[in-house]
Amino acid sequence: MSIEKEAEVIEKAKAGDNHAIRQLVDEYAPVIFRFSYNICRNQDRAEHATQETFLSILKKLNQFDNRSKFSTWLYTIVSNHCLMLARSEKTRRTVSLDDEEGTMPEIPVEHWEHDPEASVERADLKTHLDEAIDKLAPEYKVIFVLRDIEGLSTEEVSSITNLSVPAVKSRLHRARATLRNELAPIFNEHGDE
Amino acid sequence: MSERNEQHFESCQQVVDYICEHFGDDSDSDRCRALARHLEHCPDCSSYCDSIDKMIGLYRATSPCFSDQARHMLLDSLGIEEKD
Repeated sequence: MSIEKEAEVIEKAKAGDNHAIRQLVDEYAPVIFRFSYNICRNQDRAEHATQETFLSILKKLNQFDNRSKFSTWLYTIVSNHCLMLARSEKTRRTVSLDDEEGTMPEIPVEHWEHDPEASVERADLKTHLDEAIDKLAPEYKVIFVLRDIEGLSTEEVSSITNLSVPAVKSRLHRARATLRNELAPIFNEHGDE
Repeated sequence: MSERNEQHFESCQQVVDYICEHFGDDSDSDRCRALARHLEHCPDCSSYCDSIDKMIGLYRATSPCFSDQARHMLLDSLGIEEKD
């Protein structure tokens, strides 16, 4: 959808045009679902989060003033929603947020020799990916998903999360390093070492 | 340059992008060129960055699609008919 077309659809949706709202659903529900899924790694919860986010979007649509990209506005809403959900969960084991702008983690030297999809069953691989990302604190998960999975720029992530660009980079670096360490056994030729 | 080398070169470019992102430089900066040279001669750093690339690819590849059923349920929750 072009920017001009999108602006037109948003104005119609603000006026309660069901066709326009369906167009927004078709354009952005898959994006919101994918983001939510990668935060919670659960299909049912991601679908529920998508519903909740869209209800929120429709309620707040009149507040959207075209000063930012519509997608940035949507990511801000869904990020806040997912963070709120994640924080409401208790006793989750997550990576420490301490010293987030301090010294970066050292690069481990083990090599990922194997393509894990060649040696690990797909379902097992997904379980490994789920377990690894689940160990990240929600604030790190959001940064990793926005920047690396959704492919947004560091500046956009900074705007969405209301963090400084250096803080985004620091959290991103730590999130990648943590995930990489968690997943090392399935990539590493000598995974039990 | 062979096809194999070209693929390797493309991967290294991505590697440089990742590291540069951390330092906040663009791809044409002196620091990035120095990093690129370093990666050519440092298997550990190169392997590390390659693994990050693989990891991101796996997370992207395992993201499910938004199903028709989920779309229908969403429209239903919003009180929107499938067709006008």
